[in-house]
Amino acid sequence: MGNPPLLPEVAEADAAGEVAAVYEEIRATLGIPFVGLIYRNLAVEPGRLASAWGQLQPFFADPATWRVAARLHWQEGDTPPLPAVAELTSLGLDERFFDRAVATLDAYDRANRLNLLGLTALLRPRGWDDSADGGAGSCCCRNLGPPRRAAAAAGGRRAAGG
Amino acid sequence: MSQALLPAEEPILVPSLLRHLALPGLLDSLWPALRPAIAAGFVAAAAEDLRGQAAAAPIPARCSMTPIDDPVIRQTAGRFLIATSTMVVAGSLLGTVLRTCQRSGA
Repeated sequence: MGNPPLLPEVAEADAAGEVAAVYEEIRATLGIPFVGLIYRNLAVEPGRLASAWGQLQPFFADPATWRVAARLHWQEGDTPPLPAVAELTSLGLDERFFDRAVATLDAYDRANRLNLLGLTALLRPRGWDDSADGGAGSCCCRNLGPPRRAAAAAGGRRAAGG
Repeated sequence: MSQALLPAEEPILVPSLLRHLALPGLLDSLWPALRPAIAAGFVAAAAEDLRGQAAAAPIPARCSMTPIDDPVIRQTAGRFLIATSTMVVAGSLLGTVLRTCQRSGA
């Protein structure tokens, strides 16, 4: 018996046309040097990536989304103690490696938090009234105009570079 | 690692974060640090907590989004909602371990 199949994807190196353009927008909007697997998977069937990204891009371009993403947290006190990793010393990893690895994890943390909010928004049921659920799920719809996309996009990129 | 972190489902979803760290010996070395937190249910519980916060968060831009009807996108988004929240927690724990090693000059 062979290995179970991996989720299909369009690798960044193989992207062309519309998919390559959306990938570039994803990197720019989320401020990361890579495209997450969910987008690479959605790109397998024509039109799906563009359809989902068309909804998500303005959402991610809003600085308020970034602020909420940064505030997602869990109780640090609940974190179990992490065993020491003595084996790393034998791998010959230098300071530059750790700097790069930590920077990579920070980029993933930022992207995963945003994607968590974006996917939650995409999946909310049609007809769900955000403003009428007693606060849970509120999106502050009232008294808001249309999304301020240009300003929001600039704010998002600034946040991404920080 | 991805099979321990995420629900069993095919095709297999290997998070990009793990692929990025898939250097010779590195994940093997990091795995013992992460495994107890997974086994104790901490990672799954914290990820569920994050999903709850995400659903309750006040986000103005959500109002301008049209919920997706495409069943394939919804299924994919649902699967990645679990994966993404899990990897926020797992990535944070891995970051803690790597920062500790970084400080200690490992």
